[in-house]
Amino acid sequence: MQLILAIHPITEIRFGENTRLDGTVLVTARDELRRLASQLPGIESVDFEIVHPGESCRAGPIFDIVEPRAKAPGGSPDWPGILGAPQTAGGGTTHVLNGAAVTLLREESPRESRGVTGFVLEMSGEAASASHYAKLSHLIVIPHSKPSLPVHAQQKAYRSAQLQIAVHLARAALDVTPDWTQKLDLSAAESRTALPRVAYVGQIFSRQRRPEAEEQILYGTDTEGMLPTLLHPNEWLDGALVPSYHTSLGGAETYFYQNHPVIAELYRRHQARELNFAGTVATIASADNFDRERSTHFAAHLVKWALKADAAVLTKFGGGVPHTDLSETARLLECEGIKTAVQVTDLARDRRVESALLFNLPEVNAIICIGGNSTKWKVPPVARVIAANSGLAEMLAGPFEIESLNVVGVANQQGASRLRSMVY
Amino acid sequence: MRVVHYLNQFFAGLGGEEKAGALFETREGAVGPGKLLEQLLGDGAQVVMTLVSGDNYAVENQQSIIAAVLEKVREANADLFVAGPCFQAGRYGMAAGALCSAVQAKLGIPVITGMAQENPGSDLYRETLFIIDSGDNAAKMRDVLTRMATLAKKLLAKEAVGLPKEEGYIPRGLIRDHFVEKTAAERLVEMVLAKVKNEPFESEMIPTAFAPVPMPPGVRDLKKAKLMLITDGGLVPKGNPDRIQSSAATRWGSYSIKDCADLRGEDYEISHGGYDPQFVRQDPNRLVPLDVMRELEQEGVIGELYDEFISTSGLANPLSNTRRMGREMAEKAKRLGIDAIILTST
Amino acid sequence: MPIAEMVGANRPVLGNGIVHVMGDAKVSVDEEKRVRRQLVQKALEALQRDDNS
Repeated sequence: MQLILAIHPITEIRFGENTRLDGTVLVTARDELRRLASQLPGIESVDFEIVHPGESCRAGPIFDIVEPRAKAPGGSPDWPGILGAPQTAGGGTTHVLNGAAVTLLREESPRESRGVTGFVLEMSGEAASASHYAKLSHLIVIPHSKPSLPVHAQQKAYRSAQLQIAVHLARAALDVTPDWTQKLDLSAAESRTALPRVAYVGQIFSRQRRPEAEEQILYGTDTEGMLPTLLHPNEWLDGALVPSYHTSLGGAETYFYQNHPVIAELYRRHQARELNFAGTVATIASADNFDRERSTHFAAHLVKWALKADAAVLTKFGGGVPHTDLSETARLLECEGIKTAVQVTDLARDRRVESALLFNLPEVNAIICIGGNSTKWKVPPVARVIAANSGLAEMLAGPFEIESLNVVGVANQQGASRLRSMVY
Repeated sequence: MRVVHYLNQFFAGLGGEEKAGALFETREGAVGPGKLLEQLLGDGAQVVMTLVSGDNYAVENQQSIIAAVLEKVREANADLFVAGPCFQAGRYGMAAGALCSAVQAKLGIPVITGMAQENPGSDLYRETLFIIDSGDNAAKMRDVLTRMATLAKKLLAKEAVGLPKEEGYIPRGLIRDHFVEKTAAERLVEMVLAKVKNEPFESEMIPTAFAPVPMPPGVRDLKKAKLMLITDGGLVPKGNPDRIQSSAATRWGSYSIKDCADLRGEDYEISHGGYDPQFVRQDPNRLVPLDVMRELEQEGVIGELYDEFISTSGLANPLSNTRRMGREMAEKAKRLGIDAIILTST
Repeated sequence: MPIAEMVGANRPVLGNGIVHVMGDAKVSVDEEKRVRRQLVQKALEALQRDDNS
């Protein structure tokens, strides 16, 4: 399987007469986007705002962040299982508006354990310097869903609207010559037998929560009953996956599936002939012991027998249960002689090392730890607060204190975080 | 800079083990290693007073020696309190740790000490103090004092203190956040490559080993035993009277089940953010098995069920919280003469 | 369970899932109570032992 990314760098988004690329400027039109969104069930109207890096601006609560991308004809569909037929993603050419983002806001505070503000996009100041998202030009989409819509239908409408708008924007690039292209495939691995084969095992959901009705996570399905599944790395990058609506599980956005930091790093080192990227397994944190045993053994088995890996890196999705399942999968891999490194989040609210991990397994001794519990910022009032209604705008007006875990992108669990827990 | 220095009998030149009973005494100026310390601190630093005690005397009279030291340090109008270094001398390390933490807490001035990681004082005081890792070799006195003086000056100037490796102190077992150049993904792949190639790598977090909990003997006669139910699944009476937090709970409650044969969903709610509570909401017996316990009580299988159940919420809770709450619950159960507890956990 | 074992909790007994550790929402009320009674009896057996076997 070969995926070609046709990269179009974007330095600015602007409203104009219609959607097109003007050099590195993405021009789009409010009415055009409104017409597109109004055809979606559940959406009454949509507003749009544009923000750029360094602007005194704050937006939230964030539903999701998506990079505008569109498939050239002849490859796999855009967002298979959600917008297109559920066929294998990751083949053909994908046009990428690199540097741009379509960022959709929620109409209510998500509550759950992410607190009252939910995830917030900070475009200026210290908090912004900690998140990759502050470096992007955002088209902010503010949905107004039809009244008395059930929650699951509302969220489904958000998802469709966001993905459709993102694809629509990127289609403007289909006939434009890209700045550069990137070819992604694994074919070279077979002949380079001296290099270690490294696999990626990534959790994509946690069964601590039930998915919402009709929730679309993997190829449009909600993952209920799913066993660990082999995916080609290109499938992650090219539309097979979106994160769950459940923000309490936190730390994952569609943008970093499209630009998956772990997969990108494995590809980079694969192309640099430092390793052979053996492939990936998508897995789910469990609801009970039966589920845990089944899932962890199955994932380890796939890594050993299907991917024939010498080593594996693992990431989790969410909090405590995912943490334990991650370590158990790593332990089973180590028992099979497959070396592992795992990425966890710091769970120690008392800032003590003894509270940081939920496992103590001698084999699972290569641990990357994302911080977050001791970093917060006092964020000032900003020139522009973007939110779905005045109540939310007031809540985000500032000044207030925001935990790093609530600034979107800072404690990302897909590998993008630069915030590290240090033992001292 | 005015410095007060604490030494044991050996480093103060009184003698070895035979002088371990020496009483607490005060000397003017620097003594023994204090002279080198003064020189390494530089900037006109002056050891204005040296406090000396025999190791046995310090351990046996800890409270009174703490009081005496506090008084002397206050009297000396000190800017800095230094103890040791103690290397592997256990009683010396214990005294240095106790005195430093008392001075730090009561007088609020910087303190510094040094000892070996294996010194029992390190285990007890490493979290509260900066303890320079002295190793066990007293011949390295100059090197150890240099690191003590360097870190002490940083503490005095309220400068940021680096990591244990950079400063040479014993890791305190605490966590702080740093922003680093490489993303988590880059570090993750780098680490697994080192591991698979058998190259050295350094894990970013250290697992905690738990000492085994001594196991009390089994219940000999269940028919006479008094049992209690505890849960960490967050089941609380409607309205959550004790305001038990749904995450990182600091509180627990004890709720009457007197004359109840059964728990009814309408009387309770769940304060726990980590699992789907709909099933326990429908029937709280699914978490706290009261109905079955009452049957077993009626049938005489168990002697008696205590007429309250204890509840808290076990989610994202640091050990410092859970350890305290566990201790409080155990004290309560012990006071009530409970023989056995069934703790149900989500 | 894996956490209970890892931290060295004494006399661990495996319950029936996180969401209903002492029950089973998938079976009838009578059957569920039988499941619960079995789980409690397992706990009582564990309480009478002197080790974690």
